[in-house]
Amino acid sequence: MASVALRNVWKYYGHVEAVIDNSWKCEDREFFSILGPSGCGKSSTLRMVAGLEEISKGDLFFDSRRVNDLHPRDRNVAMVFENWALYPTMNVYDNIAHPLRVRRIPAREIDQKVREAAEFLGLTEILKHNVKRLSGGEMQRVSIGRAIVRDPAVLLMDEPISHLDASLRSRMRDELKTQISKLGVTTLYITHDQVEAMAMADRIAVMNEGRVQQIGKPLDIYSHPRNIFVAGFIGGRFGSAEVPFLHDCPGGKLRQEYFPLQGGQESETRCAARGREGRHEGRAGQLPRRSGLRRAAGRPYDSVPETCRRGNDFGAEPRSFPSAGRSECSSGF
Amino acid sequence: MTVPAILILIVVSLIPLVYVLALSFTKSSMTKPLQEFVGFGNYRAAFHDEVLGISVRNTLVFAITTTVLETVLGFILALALQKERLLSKIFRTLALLPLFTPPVGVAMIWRLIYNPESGMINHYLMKVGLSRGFIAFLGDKKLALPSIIGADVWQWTPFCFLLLFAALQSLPREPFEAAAVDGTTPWQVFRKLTLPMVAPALIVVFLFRMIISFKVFDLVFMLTMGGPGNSTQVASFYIYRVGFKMFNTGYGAALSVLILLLISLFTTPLTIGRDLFMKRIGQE
Amino acid sequence: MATHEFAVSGEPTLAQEESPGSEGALRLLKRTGRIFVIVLFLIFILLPVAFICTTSLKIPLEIRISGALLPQGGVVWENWVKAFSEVPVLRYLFNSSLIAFVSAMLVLFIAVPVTYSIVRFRTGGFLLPSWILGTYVMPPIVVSIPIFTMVKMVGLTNTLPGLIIVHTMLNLPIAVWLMDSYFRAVPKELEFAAWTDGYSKVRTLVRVVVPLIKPGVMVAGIINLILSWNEFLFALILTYSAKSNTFPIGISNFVGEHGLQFGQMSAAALAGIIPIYIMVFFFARNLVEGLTRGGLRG
Repeated sequence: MASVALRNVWKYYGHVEAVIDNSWKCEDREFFSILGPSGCGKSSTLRMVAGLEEISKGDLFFDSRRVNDLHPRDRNVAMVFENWALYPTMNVYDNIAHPLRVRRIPAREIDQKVREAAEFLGLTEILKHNVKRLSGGEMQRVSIGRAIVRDPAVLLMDEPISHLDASLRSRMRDELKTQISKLGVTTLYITHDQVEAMAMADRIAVMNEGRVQQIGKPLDIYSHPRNIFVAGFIGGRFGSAEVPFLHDCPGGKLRQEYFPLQGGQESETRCAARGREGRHEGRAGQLPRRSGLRRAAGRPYDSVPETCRRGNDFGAEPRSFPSAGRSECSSGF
Repeated sequence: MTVPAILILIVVSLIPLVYVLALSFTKSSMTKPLQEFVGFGNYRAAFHDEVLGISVRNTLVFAITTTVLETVLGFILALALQKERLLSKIFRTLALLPLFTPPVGVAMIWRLIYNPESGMINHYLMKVGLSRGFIAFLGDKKLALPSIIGADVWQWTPFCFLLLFAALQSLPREPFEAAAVDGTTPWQVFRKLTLPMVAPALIVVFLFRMIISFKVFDLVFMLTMGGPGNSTQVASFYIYRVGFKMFNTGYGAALSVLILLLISLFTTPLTIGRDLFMKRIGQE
Repeated sequence: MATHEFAVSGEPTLAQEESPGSEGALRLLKRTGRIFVIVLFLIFILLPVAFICTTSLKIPLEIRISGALLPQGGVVWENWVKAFSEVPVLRYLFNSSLIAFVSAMLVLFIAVPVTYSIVRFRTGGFLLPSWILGTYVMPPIVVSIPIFTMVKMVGLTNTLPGLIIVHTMLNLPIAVWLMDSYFRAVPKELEFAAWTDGYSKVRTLVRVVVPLIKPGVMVAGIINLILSWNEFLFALILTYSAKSNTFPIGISNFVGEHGLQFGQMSAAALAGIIPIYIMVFFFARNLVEGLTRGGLRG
């Protein structure tokens, strides 16, 4: 097991800055998710951790060891690819056995480990099947089997379930989380689906356009988004007459207020920045609203009930972000 | 609309075959076709024809040697160029040159190169001190066929290279990345991943090239005319000699039929084998 | 996003070339080995061509005695001059060009609708593909006698039209085979749209489909041109005088009639080779694509 740490890591593709000054640390045995829209740099980050991409600038540490120049095979990481990347000419057994075979582990030991993994993932029936005949869910499990069979230090997962049917996806999400929790392996999980991240991760790093926007536990990010992007990305159900508003004030501060809203109504907000006069145009966004959460103006949030902390309480699939309204800001708070 | 046109095409292609078949049962000459019906006489004569046997053997040797050499060399080149972007672009263009050189050109070029007195090979061999005399590549019974094979390899290896290069390029990248993460050594990757995935293309190229090489004629005509002796007598050339130089068209027709049968006999199992192999690797 | 070129050896290609230590050194060694093989073969390919070029420029005396690559006794043009003046090389080139061009046009004219029929309407079922396969398995020599007889019957031996027709017939299957994959790449919906708009099948083909498969048509045309230009056997059989001899035959006559005039031979050969090379360079990308698309389907 190992912790994974990035320190001021950059990635260039020619002139394009794909990853900009990322720094974070995933603790040993932690389930750490990197969440963001397409093209935000999360895949590049993962591939740098795996060693499949070169790190343009900055340092990558496994525990306290700098591993920038280490070949993938020496990093003791295992990776589950977005398209599963199974070996097309082999059957399930050989696919899972492959990482062990290349290490010249005796056949009997290999057989034992492969069967263990297969049973763990429910693949025992199809061990002899060629991978081309498998369904999406089966292929995903084979891919995971291949990754866990050799007890890697770090498990890397690149959107492993985004290519499954929606119904399968939610079931897989739970199964994956259970399995990985059982294994207790350090896991880096990339996704663009905030429901997945929120449900599975111990901590999340939200990325956009190459930069880390916010790192924290799922509920913290949900409740205290640091900027409009994060707030908008972590969507959720809404529908109360009283909705919290997030207000992006000059001076960089975010202010949360409660307003009654009837489509298009203008509302007034008060800005946290002291000493500013005049009217300001702010961007208003809508925070995801959770049942059980209520807030009066000016008071901090109540602590979240324990039952809501578990996985799937975050409700329906994200809705689109409502159009921003205009708000006026007055000073002297 | 096009259906009748296509039917006509097929019929027109079949007529020559029917004619050849009919001819093979007669004793004819070029100017007086379909003279005398001799039943299987021509075929019986063919079985006693020593030169025919030699020509078949030569054709087989030629076909197998060139195909194997060219496929293997082409594959090695395709592998080597996988990682060289610039070089592979240059190479792919230049590779077209030997392929499209008129066979006349190929023959001329290699005639010059193989020439005993003024050929390039002899010249530089002597310079380096590897040989003392003038080696008559095309005039030596033992060297003539290999020399023709050499010229053919020059012309067709680029073809195998082009096809195999494209095949390798089209392989999905991700399994290879997974292999890297899994710790597979390059040799293991080649053996367990690359080779199995490219096997279908290899077989296709192999078969394709072999079928074409059975038809060899131009090179032999222009380089050695079947000689010296019968060392480069190949099937096509022999038939040509019988039919157009000795004007024994009846016999030539019989030989044609036999050769056709032989080639089908050879290639059909190979093709079936290929289809079976494709199915097998698709299922397992 | 450009990603690591994880070439088929499972090794990163671009990165880590510069990495220090034994890993880097081994990689460098491998790369050197690869480049060595490539360069070796490059030389193998180009050297013969270079040789015939330089031979055509050497003085005849030198050609007879030396096989060195570079002309030792100076560069001369007399071979070229003589070749063209003593032998009707131009005539041969003209014949070849005409036959090649016309037969290529004819082939395309016939093959395009035929291929379209096969691909879209499955005309001929499996018969047609078998026919195509059959024509490419069969050595041309097998049908040479009947074809000679047939051509003689209609009195077209030793004429250009005779050879044109024969070449057209010979190369038709190849054109169909080449264009097949291009036709298949056209989405059916486009044609359906045209039909519902009232286009006839012919018009659809011409106005809608053909523009989309232009590369395929081009490849087929060029390859047919080159095949016709290079064709030997039937030109040999069906022509016997300068009136209709094509370039390959004319060159091979060189040896018989004029003795071993290697210099002139080289020049004359090059006269026919260079135009082809120019065309190849021009259309290199198309040719490669056409060949690989057709070839890998088997």
